[in-house]
Amino acid sequence: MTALDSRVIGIGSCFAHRFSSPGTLQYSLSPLPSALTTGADRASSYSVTVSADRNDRPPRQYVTVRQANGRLVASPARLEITAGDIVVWSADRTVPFGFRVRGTIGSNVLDSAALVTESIYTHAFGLAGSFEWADANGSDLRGQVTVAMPDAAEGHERWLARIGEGALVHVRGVSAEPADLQIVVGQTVVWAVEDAPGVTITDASLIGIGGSAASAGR
Amino acid sequence: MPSDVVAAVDQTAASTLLGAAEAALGTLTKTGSGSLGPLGASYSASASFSGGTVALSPPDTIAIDNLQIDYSLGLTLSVDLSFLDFCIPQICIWTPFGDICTPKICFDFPTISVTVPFASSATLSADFGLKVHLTSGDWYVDVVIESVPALDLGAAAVLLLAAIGSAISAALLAVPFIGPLLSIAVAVITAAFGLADVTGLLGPIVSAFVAGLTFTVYKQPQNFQVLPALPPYNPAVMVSLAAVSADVQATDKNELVLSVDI
Repeated sequence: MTALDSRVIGIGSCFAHRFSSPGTLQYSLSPLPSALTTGADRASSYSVTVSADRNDRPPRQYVTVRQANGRLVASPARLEITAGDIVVWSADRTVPFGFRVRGTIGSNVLDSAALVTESIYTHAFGLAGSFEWADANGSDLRGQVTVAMPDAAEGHERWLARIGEGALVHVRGVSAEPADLQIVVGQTVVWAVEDAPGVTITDASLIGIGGSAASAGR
Repeated sequence: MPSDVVAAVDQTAASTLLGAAEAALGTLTKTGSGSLGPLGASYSASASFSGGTVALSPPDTIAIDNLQIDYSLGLTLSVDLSFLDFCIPQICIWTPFGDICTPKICFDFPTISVTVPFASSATLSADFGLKVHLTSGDWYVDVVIESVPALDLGAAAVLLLAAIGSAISAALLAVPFIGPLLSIAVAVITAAFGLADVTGLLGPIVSAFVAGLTFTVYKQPQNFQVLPALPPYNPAVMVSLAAVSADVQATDKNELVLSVDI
């Protein structure tokens, strides 16, 4: 279970992106938010090829990241999709901390540690508490997720049903809607980022802004 | 042939000697491991002794009643949470960029360590024997417990069982995603052991401090220098204790008698 931080996508979190235009994303994986440089991008191991032609492929494609021989490995390494499709990256249980996706498609940079537009970050909250989140890259973007324990009287079946329901936060520029969100333990929050200046969704306590009121593992 | 020096103490004085011996013994510590039902357990424990009433019984029995043992435990339990392994189902949600579905995400719950601090006390009554020995140039008169009495740890075990339950609950609350399952998890874990298991764990820990319990009531160097207390001052004399014996003798009352040959 990893922290609430889009810079490091760990188990319980996902990074996704809708590819609106044809082109080829060449990307690399890194275990650290700042480990990838422009030079590393040129040595990118993985790709997403976006064609304009509609075909029978489902509109969502999945990339699983695992760790093998000490290195992060994406599977499939090469993906072919159609413009408008969404690709979802997630870690499996072999990834100890998390990963970052960074690459270029045409003249645009796609970076899970600097969300710009048509990018999505998801995080499942495992502990009750109040979690302030903010942009580690310095914008005014921020918000709060209040995670409550489910009502015991409702029973476990009701809780299991609720964790199948996601909650959306729509980020436009540097504002979030809703800025305050209430969920129960186990639920997943989905941040959909649009027209942002390269932001992160990061637990404020990790970047020295405010703090969160739960003791361990977000 | 009479001994050169004979010293005797009655039961009251023997109780005083016992108090001094208990203080000299100080706090004993032990570490070890055991099990609590299916759970692994390790512990560090400490104990000290106080009080007790001495009854002397010829020829060589010292009965101590109501001797108090104060003990504390740092009990660490290993709790395998794999039975709770848990998956968040695939979640599909509308976004401005189209519906997104997350993959099903499964978590392996770890084996966690739960530390349970606990302290209590018990009283015991037991017969002690006398043991005189010369070790490293010192004569010792020890009173040594003859057998480990049954200790009544029932009340302490009940409290420890409750403390374990509380500690497990607190530890589980810090594990992501267990919160809503807490009551089930605690119920499953605590159902795996009962009061008998707690008593079975606690008994040997406390008894280990009692087994071989030894109080040193007399210690004297075999060779030592003596100077007269009052003038005229003669040269110092070296005294060597050739033999020391101790027993309980019945005269007009029972006494612990120390006999020394020089």
